[in-house]
Amino acid sequence: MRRVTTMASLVTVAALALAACGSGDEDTTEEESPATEETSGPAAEEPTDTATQEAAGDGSIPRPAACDGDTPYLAVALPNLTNPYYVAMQRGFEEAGAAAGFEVEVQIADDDDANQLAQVQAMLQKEPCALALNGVKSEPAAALVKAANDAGVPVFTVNVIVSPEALQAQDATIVQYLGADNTAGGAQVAEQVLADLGADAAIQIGFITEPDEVPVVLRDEGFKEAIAANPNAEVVAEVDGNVQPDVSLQATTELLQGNPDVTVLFASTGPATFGALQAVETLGRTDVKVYGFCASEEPLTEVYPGCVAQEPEDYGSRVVEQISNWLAGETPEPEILRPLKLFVTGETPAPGQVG
Amino acid sequence: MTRVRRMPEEVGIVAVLVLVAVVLSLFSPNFATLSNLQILLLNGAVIAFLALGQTFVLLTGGIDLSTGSNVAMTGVIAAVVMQTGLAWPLAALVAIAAGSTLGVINGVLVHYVRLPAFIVTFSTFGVAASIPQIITGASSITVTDRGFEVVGRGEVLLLPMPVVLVFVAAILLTVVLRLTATGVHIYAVGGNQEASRLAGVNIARTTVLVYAISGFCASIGGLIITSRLMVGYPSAGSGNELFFSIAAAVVGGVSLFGGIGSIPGALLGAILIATVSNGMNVIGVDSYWQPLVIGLIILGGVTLDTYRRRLSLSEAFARLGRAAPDHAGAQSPAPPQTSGDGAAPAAAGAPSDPTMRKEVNG
Repeated sequence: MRRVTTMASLVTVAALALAACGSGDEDTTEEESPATEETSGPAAEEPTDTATQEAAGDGSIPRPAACDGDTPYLAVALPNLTNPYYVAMQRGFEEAGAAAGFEVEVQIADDDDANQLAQVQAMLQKEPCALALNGVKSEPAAALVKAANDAGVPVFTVNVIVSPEALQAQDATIVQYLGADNTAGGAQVAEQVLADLGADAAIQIGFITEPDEVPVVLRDEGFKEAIAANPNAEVVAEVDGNVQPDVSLQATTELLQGNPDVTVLFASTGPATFGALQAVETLGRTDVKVYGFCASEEPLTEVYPGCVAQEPEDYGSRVVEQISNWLAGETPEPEILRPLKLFVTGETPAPGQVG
Repeated sequence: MTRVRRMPEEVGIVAVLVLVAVVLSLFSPNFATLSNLQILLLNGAVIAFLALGQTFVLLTGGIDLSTGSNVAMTGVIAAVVMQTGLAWPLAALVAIAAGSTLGVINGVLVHYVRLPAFIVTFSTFGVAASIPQIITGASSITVTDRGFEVVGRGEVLLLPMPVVLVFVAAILLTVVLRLTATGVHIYAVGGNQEASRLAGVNIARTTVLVYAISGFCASIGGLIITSRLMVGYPSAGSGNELFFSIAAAVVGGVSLFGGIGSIPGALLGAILIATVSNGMNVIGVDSYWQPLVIGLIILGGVTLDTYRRRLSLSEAFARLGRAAPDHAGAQSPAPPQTSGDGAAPAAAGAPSDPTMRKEVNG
């Protein structure tokens, strides 16, 4: 038994050492989070007093003391790194942050709301100047905003809109939302469909979507509103691709099986577009066109004649810029909506330009 | 040797499957078509592979939670190896070796370190989920070797290649389980480990083998997903695959407590789950309702099947001239551990009684 215990200890130590080495070459300080998480409960209240006491009279936005240090600490919470979108956004935050003189820490929640709350609480312990938040899901993210509000840390949200109702219910406030104009993006795609296929063509359309996420729902709504200009176009089926290429591939094959007359697919996320393209290829359906939000670096073809892309790296650096401007005395706009970039057959979105 | 079995173990699950298929085809004319059957089997192939491997582990009374992550790990390893310029069959072999090795590690930890399988495989679940993220920096790896498409997109006689692979694997694994001494040992270890050790079964070898088979099956799942998307994707297999594969085996009559179950049963369970999840998208059930419907069908299927088992078991006992207890398993003269069917542990505990064993897995 002693031998087993010794072996187990050695393995544990080795794993910790490996983890420490791994994080050495990145800015993320994941190894610190388990330690701080343990104390995050009661101690989370502590920074509140100091932060609110020192909140400067810059409108209603608190200004933590950390903002006036040599390298203000900027906490960034992102949902995952499996979507290349967030890899690009992380790069935007880190590069622009370093250039603007911030110490940037990016925490990745692996798509788990509770995990993200724990990570944000851990980062709030370290008294950041501001929190840049891309929530995992719209409603649960309000709790994170509330935690930051209580700690006197201003919250700049990016990409995923924190539900206004949830914010109101918890009496939480954000400084700014910056992201793509998702409704306009959906409409841009619909206009492209109408331009390609004709303003009065009879079209049956299938959606590969993610009904749990507000931005994706906005895209669907934008598409539906704009496609309504053609009374002969009809959305006949919607499946949940869960923003995963493998799930989207399966769901798309099933959508096309169930609705053989669908000839246009609207995939409202990049991974869904990729999965839908593979599905159309698998089924050998040359009569089906895939439109949507661009898959990463996927060239546009006859089958895939149009997509719109966000520029997440740009959003990351713009959020840093907004925070810098606020520190310099400007009043941040409550909402900044960035237009999307349209790609058509023959073009290829650059790395990071994804849906 | 006489066979005193009234009907095959799998009849109950087949009945549920037929019922579900009939109901689904009433809802949509596009469900019961040949092309949808292809799609259904194709989309269920990965879960079927995981269920086949899981069956071996469950038969010994263990559980393997690492298979979903193993899919991601092996899929990414295959893509990375191909990126270095190696031919795809070699890359596939490397991925299979990696997946099987993870299984061997599971088996060694379970047997020699004597940790619960749940904990061991939960830990390696985390390890295997991290490895592809670390290797790729969490981005996707595109596969450029078009030859690799044959694994996920090829066809043999109208059947998609992944489906062919599932059937070939199912036949081979059934042979192992039914016709070899190793198969008898696997049932024996799950039925009563101490008794089988005393009977001379090599527990260590058997335990390591079943986890290795599970790892092997997961690696084939990884190859299929990577080939279907032609991208090594570090969060592949992180969705419902693990849960569905365990559910498939259990719905197919494999006991979570070891010693009972068969490969055809697990395969039918996987087909049932594939049918339900395919059918719901084909007929257009709102995605919010889908997990609820799947949950209820699994529950209903297992309940029906358990009911059927209890009936036939009482009859079997009556035939043997013993008193048939109302609640068979737990009160039967066979060693405990299981509910619903006492025959397999009896067979396992006393491998010298071939009649009893045949009754269960014959």
